[in-house]
Amino acid sequence: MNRLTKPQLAAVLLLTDGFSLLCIRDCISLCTLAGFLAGTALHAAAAFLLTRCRRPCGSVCLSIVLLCLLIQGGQSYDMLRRTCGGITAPAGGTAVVLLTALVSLYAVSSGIRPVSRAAVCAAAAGAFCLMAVTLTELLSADAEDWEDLLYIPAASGFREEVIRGLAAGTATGAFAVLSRTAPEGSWRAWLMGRAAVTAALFLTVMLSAGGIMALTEHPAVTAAHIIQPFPAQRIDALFMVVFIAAGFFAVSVQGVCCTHILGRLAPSLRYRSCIAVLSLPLSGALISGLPEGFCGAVSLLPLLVLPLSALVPRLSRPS
Amino acid sequence: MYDNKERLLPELSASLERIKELTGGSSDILTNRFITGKINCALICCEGMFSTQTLAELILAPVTGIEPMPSAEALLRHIEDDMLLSADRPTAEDYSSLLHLVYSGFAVLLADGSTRALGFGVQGYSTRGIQEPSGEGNIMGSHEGFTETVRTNMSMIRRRLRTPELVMELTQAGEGSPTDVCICYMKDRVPEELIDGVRRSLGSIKAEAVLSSGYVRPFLEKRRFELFSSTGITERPDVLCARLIEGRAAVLTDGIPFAVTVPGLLCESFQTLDDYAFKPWYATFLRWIRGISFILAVLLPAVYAAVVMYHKELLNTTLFMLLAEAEREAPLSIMTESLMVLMMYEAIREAGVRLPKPVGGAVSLISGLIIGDAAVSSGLVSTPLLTMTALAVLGGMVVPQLDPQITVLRLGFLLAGGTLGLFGISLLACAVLINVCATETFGFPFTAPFSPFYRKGMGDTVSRTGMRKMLGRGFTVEEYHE
Repeated sequence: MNRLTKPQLAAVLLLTDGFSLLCIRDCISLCTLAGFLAGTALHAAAAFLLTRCRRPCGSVCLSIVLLCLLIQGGQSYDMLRRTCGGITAPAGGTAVVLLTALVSLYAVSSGIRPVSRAAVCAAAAGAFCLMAVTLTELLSADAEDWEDLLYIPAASGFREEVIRGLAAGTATGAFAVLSRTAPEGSWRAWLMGRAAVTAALFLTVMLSAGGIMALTEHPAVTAAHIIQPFPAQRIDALFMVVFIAAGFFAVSVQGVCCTHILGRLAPSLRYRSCIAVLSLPLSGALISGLPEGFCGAVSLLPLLVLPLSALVPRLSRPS
Repeated sequence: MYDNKERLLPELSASLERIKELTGGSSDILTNRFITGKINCALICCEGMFSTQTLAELILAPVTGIEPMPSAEALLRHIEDDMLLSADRPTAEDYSSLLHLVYSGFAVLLADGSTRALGFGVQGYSTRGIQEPSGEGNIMGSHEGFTETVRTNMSMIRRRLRTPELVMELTQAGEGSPTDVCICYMKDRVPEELIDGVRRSLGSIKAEAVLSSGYVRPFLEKRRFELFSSTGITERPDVLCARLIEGRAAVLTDGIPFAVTVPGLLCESFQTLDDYAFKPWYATFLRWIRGISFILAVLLPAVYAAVVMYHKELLNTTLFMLLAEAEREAPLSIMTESLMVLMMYEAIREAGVRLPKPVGGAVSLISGLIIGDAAVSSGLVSTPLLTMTALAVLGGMVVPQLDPQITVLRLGFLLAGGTLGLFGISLLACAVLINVCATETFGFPFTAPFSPFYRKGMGDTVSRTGMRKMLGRGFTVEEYHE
C-alpha cells in the first residue's frame, strides 16, 4: 500500500469519524461531550498499543480487521441512509446510498493515494465550515445560552455516553490498516483532531439546539436548520454538501481498506474493489440498528487484535 | 519514413538510381552531378528546404575547385578535414540516414567509389517569424512567442538562459516520418529519473508523424483516464525558462509553436508571468480572482439550477421573489433552459473559431445581438439565467488553459445539480476531486503543493511573496515528488 503523510492519514480518519459525529442521534449534553472525549481517550490508549506492536499481521488477525471494517462500513452506510431523512436531499435514503456507493467504487478503484490527497482538501474545507459555524454560534451566544447548557437533559449515564463515543469511532478499522503506512505518531494528530471536532461540533449543537434537544432525532441536522450566519438565509442545504462529502470519504476509505485486506487474504481474487464496495452497503442493510455496546466493542477490536495476538501465537501466523 | 538500414552503394550511378527508386522519383529531390578532384560526385537536396545562396557560395564554389584526388574517400576526407564549409556536417552511411538529412534541408554530397555521404547544413526554408503569442497574453513581459521551427525556439531559450547548466538534447520522435524533438532541462536541478522517463516516453511514440502537441503529451502522461492534463503547455519562451529554472523538463517539437513541460501542476493554470511584474499584493489578488473565476465557471449554472429547483431556503425573500417572477414566464425547466443556453454558447464559440475571421466576427455579432436578445424578449430564456450563464462563461475565459475541462465539467455539474440538487453537485465534486488528485506524471502529483501539502509552495500559489524571499528559497519541483 502507498505511504501516507501524517496530514493525509489524519484527514481520512477525521472525515470518517466526523461523519459519524454529524449523524449522531438522540440528546447531546455536556455528559455526552465528556463521554465522547473519554471514548476518544480509550481509542488513543488502544491506538498507542497498536503502534507499539511490531508483530506481523496473521491471516486470522486480518480476517478480524476485515470483519470490523465491514461492520463499521455498514454502520456508515446505515447512518447515511437514516440521516438522509433529516436533510433536504432530492433523492430518498436508498437512492443516496446507491449513488454514493457507485461514486465510491470509482474512488476505491483509484486507490488510497488519490483518496487521501482528496481527503486533505475535503477536510480543510470541512474544518473551515465547522470553524465558521462554531465561531458564529460562540459569538452570538450570551450568558444565558451558556447557562442553559447545564440544563440540557442527558440521554443516559456517563458509562453509556462513553460507549456511544466508542461506537461513533468508525475509523478505527481504517486506522488499523493504514497506521503502518504513515509516519510514527500519526495517531496523535487523528485523535486530537477528533477531540477538537467533537468539542466544537457538540458545543455548536448544544448552543443552537439546546432548548429543543429532547425533541430532535438528529441534533447536528437540527442545528444546521436553526443556525443562520446571515440574517435572511438558512444554511441547511450547505450542511448537506459537507455531510455528503464526509459520508463519501467515510465509505470510500473503508472500501479502500477492505480492498487492501482482501488483496492480502486472497491475492488471486478479481474485482476486489467491486466486492468491497458492494459488501459495505449490504452489511449496512444487515446490521441496521445494532446495539451501541456491540459497535463500541467493534471499534476497539481492530486496535487491540494485533497486541492481543501476541498472547495467542496462532493468530499472528503470516498470511 | 523509409526504415531500411541498407548501406550506400559505392558506384555513384547505381546509388543515385537506388535513391530515385526509394523516393519514388519525387520531383522535389534535386540531384546535381559534377566532377571535382577528377571524381564523379553528386549533390542531393530537397526543393524549398535549403538556401540557394548559402549552397552556391559556401558549398558549390569551394567544393568544385578541389585539386585532383587519388580516391573518393580521400576527397571526402579532404572536404571534411581541410575545408570549413558549414557548421553542421553529419555523415550518412545508409539510405535511411541520407534521406533523413535531405528531408531535413541538408545538402548531401556523394562521391563515386565511396560508401558514405557528407551532409552540409544549408537549411533555408521559409518559416513564420517570431510573433506575439495568441493564447497567452502578457502586459509587462516579453512579447515573443515560439515559432514552428525547433531550432529557432531553441535559440530563444538559449538567449534567456546563457548557462552551461541548460542542456538541449535534440532527438527524433515518430516512426514513419521522424520529427525533431528537443528535450530541454537544467542539468543541475532536474531529477535524473524525470529526464530518463521523458526520453523513454518520447522513444515510445509510435505515431506516423508528430503533427501537434497532442501527439506528444499522451506519451508523457499516465494511461488512466484523467480530466486534467498532467503536463503543462506554453507558447512563451520566458514562461518555459521560468519552468526550467524550477527544475522541470520541456519538450520542443519541430513544426509546433508550443512547448510541453513536465510535470504540469494545477496551480500553473492560475499563474502568469505578469504576476511577477506586479506588486505581490496585487498579484495575490489576481490569483484569487482567477481561482474564484474557475470555480464560478464550473459551478455557477449548476448551483443556480440546484438552488432554484430544490433548495429555495438558501435564497432570501427578495431574491426568491425576483427569481420566481423571472422563471414564471419561462416555458422550459431551468435545467433545460441552462443546457440550451450553454450548448448554444458552445456552438457559437466553435463557429467563431473555425470560420474565417471576418465571418467569425459576424457570427459573434448575430449570436450575441439577435439570438441572445430574441431569446430573452421572446421569453424562451429568463434574464437571471442568462446572466448566470454569461458570468460562468466569462469566468472560464479568465483561465483559458483549462477551457476544455471547464466546458465539460460545467455541463456535468449542471446535469447533476438539475437532477439531484446540491447532493448531486457534492457527489460529482467528490468524484472530480478524486480524479484530479489521482492525476500525476513521473511521480509528481498534479495537485501539489495543495495536496500533498507543502507549506513552502504556498508562497507562490495561494499568494505571491516578495521577489527577494521567493528567489532566496531555492525551490525546485523535485520537492513535490512522491
